[in-house]
Amino acid sequence: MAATTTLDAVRGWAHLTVVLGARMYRVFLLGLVVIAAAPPLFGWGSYVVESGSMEPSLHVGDVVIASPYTEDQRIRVGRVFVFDDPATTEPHLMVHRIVERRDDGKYTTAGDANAVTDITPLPSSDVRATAVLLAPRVGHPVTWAQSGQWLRLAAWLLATIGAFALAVRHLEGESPRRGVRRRRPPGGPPPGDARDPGASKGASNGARRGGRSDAARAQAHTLAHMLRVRPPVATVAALLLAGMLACTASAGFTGYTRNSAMSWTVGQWTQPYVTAVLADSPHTLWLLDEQPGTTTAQDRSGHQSLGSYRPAAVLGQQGGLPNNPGSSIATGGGLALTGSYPIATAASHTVELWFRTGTQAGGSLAGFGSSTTTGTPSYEDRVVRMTTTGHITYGDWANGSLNVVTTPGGYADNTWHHLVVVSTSANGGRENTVIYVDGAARVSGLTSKVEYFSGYVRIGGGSGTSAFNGSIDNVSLYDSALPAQRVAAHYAAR
Amino acid sequence: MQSPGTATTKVLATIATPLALVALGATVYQASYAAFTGQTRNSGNEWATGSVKLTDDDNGAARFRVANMLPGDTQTKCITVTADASVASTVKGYAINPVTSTVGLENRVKVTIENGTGGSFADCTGFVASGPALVNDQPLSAIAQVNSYETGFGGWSVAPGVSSKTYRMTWRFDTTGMTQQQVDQMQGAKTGIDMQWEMQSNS
Repeated sequence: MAATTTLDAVRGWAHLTVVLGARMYRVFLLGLVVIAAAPPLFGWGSYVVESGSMEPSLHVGDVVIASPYTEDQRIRVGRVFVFDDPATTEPHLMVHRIVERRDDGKYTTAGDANAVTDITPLPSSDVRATAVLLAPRVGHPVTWAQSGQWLRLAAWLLATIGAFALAVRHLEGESPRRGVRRRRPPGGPPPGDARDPGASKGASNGARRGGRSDAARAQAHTLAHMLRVRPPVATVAALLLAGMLACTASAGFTGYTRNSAMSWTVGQWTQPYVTAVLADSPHTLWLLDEQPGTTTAQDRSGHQSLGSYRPAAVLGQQGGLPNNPGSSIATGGGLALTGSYPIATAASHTVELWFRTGTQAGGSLAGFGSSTTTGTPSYEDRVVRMTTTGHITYGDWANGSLNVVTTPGGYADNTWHHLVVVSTSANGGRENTVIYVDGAARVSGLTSKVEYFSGYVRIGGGSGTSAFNGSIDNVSLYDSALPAQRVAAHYAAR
Repeated sequence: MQSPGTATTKVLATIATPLALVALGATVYQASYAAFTGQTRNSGNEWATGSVKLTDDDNGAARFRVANMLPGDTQTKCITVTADASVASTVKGYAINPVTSTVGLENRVKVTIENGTGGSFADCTGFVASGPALVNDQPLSAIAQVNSYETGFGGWSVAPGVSSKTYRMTWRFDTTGMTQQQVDQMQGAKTGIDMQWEMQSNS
């Protein structure tokens, strides 16, 4: 008998503890839900935290209640804010702490658990709300649902429904309550409810209404069951509905690494053809790459041996060398370019240029003269000409008897050709000359006497035959005789 | 032992609800106070289990430091980026701190970036590219426009745990179509850029 009493006592305390625990849980949960769900009713925001970078301040599943931010409010460094993630244009709410006001007026944000601050600065226009209250963990069902943790969600739902069902149990000494209890069915308490005093009262009620049919009793029983089960289910369903409408904010993690100070510095270099020419120390190298409208041809040889474009010249034409981008000039059938300074006659000299023409008119490609104007200069020598049949001649200038060399082939074929005329002094003021075209010697022999005067280089026009009508590129002049292999090297670097 | 008497039950039942409300208020107040009062962040002391870390194997050395660059020069090197994440994250690469030259050298240095496995900062041997190049022969000036996580290249999905990826970078100095005058202007010109990899958790 004593054992039964003890058992009854344990049962009594257990029942009391469980029911009271369930009631406290219910109050606690509903209270949290109210705190979490009510703010939107008066214009505030509730945000379920969905990731853990704000730990230990905010955990996944916490609900942040935040008051809306307006531009006139002060943003206090150290506070937690809900903001539009500035790192993306997608709609993405973040809840992070503002840790710094930057010089540019933006703010640096960070998750408490992040090793680094967020990389993209936050403009105040992206701030949505200031975090004010925290309802811990109450948003968990939302995060579980979002991340597909259905098992946890189901377990929590069952536990909560169970707790809510327990919470409505009547306790001894309590006055009868509105609702379910009063409708205790007359057919007796459900199993496990034997100690409920409400049940015995119900039973006595039932005895009073003993005339009722069994069918009516069964119906009442079912109805009562539904009513007993419904409030918890309805409450939880309402909670879930509230959860579905909840706003989530990410407390995302960030990390970065960088490789800094990569740099590229350009060295000293020239185009291959320019490199080849400069290796042989010309006193003049006109690349003729100037833009239209320019009057001075720059010298790349380093001797400031400038040239002057004449009115006939047309600048900015397509260049002649495939691997050395640049432009060429068209002579326009007249004197196109002259040296700005006269050059004394040297015992050995070389003239190198690129030309192209499709006309059979011939004309003076290059020469030296005592003037820089069109028309025939008083003195003229070292003239390279193209004949009307496209052959290249050298020595054809009036200074005593003529000694002229002419290439066997013609070159008026509308393609670019590399022309080098190399002369060394011979007896009686004459010269031994080799004419190279496209890197190979085409003709050699004794040529006419040269004058002893300081002459200007004249490109495209001279005395005698008409001016050359075609294109000229990359003119270089040397006070030395280029050897054959250097000529070939220049051509190879085209 | 006695069963709880009616009086005890009554008292306990009466104070249970106010007690729960007090506990609720205290919890909310304590949590809010801890989280939302202004405070200085002491970074790194107490990283949460969910923290993410991204590192590379450059030991602070620049991947490319090219002096005396000449036309047609090219170079290929690797860098390995290691992600240590306990939540699913995404890593993207982008450029920061571009150094521009007055003569437009950044338009002439063209970069290709591939991602794959194998190889390291010290030695690219063993690198195997996975998929097409992330950046294909783009001038530095274009890469400099890719300057944020959102526009970043790659989009490497990192599963929880430690994982790494090697990026192979190739540059070439493209002087196609440059006249000698433009070449002359470019001499001594310097351009530069920093590459940054950023990891963000997916939620």
